[in-house]
Amino acid sequence: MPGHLEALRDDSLRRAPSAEEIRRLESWLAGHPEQRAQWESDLQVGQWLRELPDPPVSPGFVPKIMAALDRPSAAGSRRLDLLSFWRLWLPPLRWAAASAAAAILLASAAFIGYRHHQSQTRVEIARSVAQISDFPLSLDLLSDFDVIRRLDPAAVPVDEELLAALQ
Amino acid sequence: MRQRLAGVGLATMGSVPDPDAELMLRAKRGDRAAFTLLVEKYQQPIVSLVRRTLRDPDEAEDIAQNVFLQAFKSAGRYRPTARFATWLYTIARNLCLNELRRRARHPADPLDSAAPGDTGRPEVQNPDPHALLAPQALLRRELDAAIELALAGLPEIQRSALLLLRDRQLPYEDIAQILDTTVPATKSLIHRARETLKQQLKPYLRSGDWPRPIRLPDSTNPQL
Repeated sequence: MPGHLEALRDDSLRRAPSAEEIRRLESWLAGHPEQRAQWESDLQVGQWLRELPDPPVSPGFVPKIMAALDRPSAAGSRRLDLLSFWRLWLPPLRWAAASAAAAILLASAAFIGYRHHQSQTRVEIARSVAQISDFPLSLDLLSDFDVIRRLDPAAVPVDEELLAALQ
Repeated sequence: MRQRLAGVGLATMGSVPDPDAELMLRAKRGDRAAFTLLVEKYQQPIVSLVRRTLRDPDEAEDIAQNVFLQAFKSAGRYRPTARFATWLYTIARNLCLNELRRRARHPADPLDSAAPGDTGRPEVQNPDPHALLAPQALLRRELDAAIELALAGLPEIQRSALLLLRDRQLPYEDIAQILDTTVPATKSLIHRARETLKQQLKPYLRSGDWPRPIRLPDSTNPQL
């Protein structure tokens, strides 16, 4: 199909074909009668769309817009107020948030340290208990347990002979 | 949206002078009268586009007003290298798409159903009551309603392409720019939209009651 006819198909959606265009189309259709129905429906739909009435616009459309343009100062000042509010309050809020985050971090570190210390103490007690667990249980043996536990092992040399005798 | 508007603003318009661009430049300098002229000129095509996209008369008018307000507020970013109509239609389509997205997020507002009070029939501007009584006018009214319904059933981008094409001043390049696509893609959208409309309006095409655009002699399809 010639290019100008292809363009005419689309252009018929926005304007009525001229007499010259119709004459050229007729001339082309004489050699391509199988295309006639397609062209008729295309041009028909084009005409219908061109003639489709536009939805009405309310009479106050333009005045409403112009009135709204006169009001931007109010909207602008409201926006400015909000902006000033955030500018005023954002730095202290930011500082407060940073302080709270630091406090939470410190508290968490202290808690973790305390739990670690607690677990270490428990391990030490468990080791001490394990050390005496091999001896026959006697309340007399445990009477000086705390005193002995506090003794510095480095300061008191181990009595190897006594240990061997006990074993 | 700002990026797209900026993109439109930098587009080349060629050597064809655009009187609307001149008015917009005056409006940019604070000339309200120039902007009023632009609103008066474009109120109908913008309302038509928005109304047929959103299918809610009240909301459509609010959005259409926002289009002009947005244009005025964005006047500082407007460059006269872009056709004013292209710029304005781009704003209109962006606001429509925003509204459609908002409706999609809040399905309580039906996306494609007509608003209360909207019967789906087109409202004829300045209707003549005597003309409406004539059988031909009634037939035409029924046909217009069928066309509106068929248009409403099209995908948004196809419908926009078709509606923008009705504006005689807009070249394909500008329509493509508004739709954020290429010229071949725009032509393809228009072709697909027209084919869908033909399918939807087949009963009217075949009835023979409707006015024909051209009288082609030796028609091989007499039912048309």
